[in-house]
Amino acid sequence: MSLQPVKTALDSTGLPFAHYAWASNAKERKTDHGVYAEDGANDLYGDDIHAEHVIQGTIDYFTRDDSGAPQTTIETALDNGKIAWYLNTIQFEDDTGFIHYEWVFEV
Amino acid sequence: MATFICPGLEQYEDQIAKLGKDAVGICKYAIYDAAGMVLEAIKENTPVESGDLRDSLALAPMRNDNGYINTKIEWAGYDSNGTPNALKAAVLESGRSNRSKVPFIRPAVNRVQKAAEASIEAALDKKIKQIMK
Repeated sequence: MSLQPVKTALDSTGLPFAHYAWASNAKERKTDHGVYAEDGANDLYGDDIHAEHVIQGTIDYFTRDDSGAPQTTIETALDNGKIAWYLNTIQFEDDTGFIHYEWVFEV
Repeated sequence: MATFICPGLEQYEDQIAKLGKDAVGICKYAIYDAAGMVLEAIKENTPVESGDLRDSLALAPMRNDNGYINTKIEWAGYDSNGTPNALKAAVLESGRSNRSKVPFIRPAVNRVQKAAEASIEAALDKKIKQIMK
């Protein structure tokens, strides 16, 4: 299993996303953007065998849009892509003005 | 009319009563060990620069919130630059728009979750057997 379902779902939102890291230059970091990355596994075992391989990771979206629209768009895309997810945190960065949404996903 | 006699029920009643009386203590004992396992796993995963963050990790006192017996793993105090260790841990775990994340808490918890649950089960079994024998 690859991360393709996550990539496909996020691409369908039309929002700017990158895998692992967003642009390193400061100018681009000031615009709304998202990053997704895998960081581990949560595999399923049964009857002493490795039954299912599960990749776990996070999706982060940084936005100054406080309407909640990006959150809805992303969550709907994940649902449509049949990706297991939960919203882990919403934080406000007072120095940059970004609202930071963080979801944990499993595929 | 038939008479059915069950000898030894008084002792069984006493054991069940004792089990009920000691239930909270038994649960605390079981959870404390498991929480320690999770704490050690997070410590192992903690990125080390000065070691302040890793060394500030500790178990909070056990709590009983209306029968929900729990403890927290938390970061105490400040690092040598005056930054709260808890804030540093949160920024590392979740990242920021201008700083990449280094998830170290959730992966550690995932890694030991099953072992911690098994530890709770084993500790409960052991204590219950001690009381019921």
